[in-house]
Amino acid sequence: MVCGGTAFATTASGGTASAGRPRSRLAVWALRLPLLAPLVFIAPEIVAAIGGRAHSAAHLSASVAEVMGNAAFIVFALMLAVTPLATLTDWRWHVVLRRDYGIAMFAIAMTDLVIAAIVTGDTFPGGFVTRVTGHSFLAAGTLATFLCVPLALTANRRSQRSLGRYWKPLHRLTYMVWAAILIHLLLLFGLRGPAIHAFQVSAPLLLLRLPPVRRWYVTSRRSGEARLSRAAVGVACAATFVVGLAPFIHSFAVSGEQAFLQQPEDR
Amino acid sequence: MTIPSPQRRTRRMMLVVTAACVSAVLGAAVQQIADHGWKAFVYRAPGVGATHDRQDGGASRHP
Repeated sequence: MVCGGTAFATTASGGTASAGRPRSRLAVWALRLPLLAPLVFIAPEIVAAIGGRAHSAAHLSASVAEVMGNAAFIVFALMLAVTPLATLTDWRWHVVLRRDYGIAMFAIAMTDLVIAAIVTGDTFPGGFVTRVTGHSFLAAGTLATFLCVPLALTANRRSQRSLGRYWKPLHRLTYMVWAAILIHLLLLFGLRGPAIHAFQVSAPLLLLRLPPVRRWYVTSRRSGEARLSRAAVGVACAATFVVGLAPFIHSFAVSGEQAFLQQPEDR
Repeated sequence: MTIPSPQRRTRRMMLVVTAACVSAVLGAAVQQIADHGWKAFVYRAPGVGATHDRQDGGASRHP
């Protein structure tokens, strides 16, 4: 069983305290700012669609999955990376970002779902329900988003207190969200492209959550042993993660720019 | 009769929320299968879903 930092987690174990130092606080805010990028990119198309401009619904339909889908995956991967990063570096200042990224991922995914349900009638004829569950890959994506509802509802200190010892098991739902996202991408792309990259991103995140690996890393770091092995594992995991995530970031940047300029690629 | 603790009550509430979310999606998916068949649900026609720079050579996008 995987363990450690369930996502959407609040930071009862010191994240807030270490994020309290001015420099850490600045870094945390700097890392929160990019969460607004998807909204900034897609906002002009939403405004145009609400204003009823010609072809705006088609533009939005063409952009929403690329912009919001990529953004949701990127933010989810970054949220999952918080705990492994703490394992690798012993940092605590960034732990506060886990909850922020989790809630942001939910907001982005839900926005994607709502917009898709409204504007993708040209691709998926039928009602709202067909547009979000009409195919297996759509159902998997929708399931991933809906599973985030209880997580987002309880991603606060009050819920953590109310649920007590039940809070952490509930937040292990994150792993089901993770599985649903991978299935969504697998059904959508098959064993190529983004699906492979998603598995590539997931591999080091999963590896560093495995109790024996995590225990070995933390113990040997504290005792100052196996420096070379630890460095090799750290570099390999970081490189795999970054190389896997880069195509998503590239795709998000390109489609985001096109959405912002309201020039979606020809379909 | 034992009175559930506030923690258990909250836990039960969240289990209900989770079950409702999962049921909503699974129910809708089952309805789609019943209406259009398993093949239409699982297999997508070329051009449905994946973006063209990634897979299908001129496909539309998906939600």
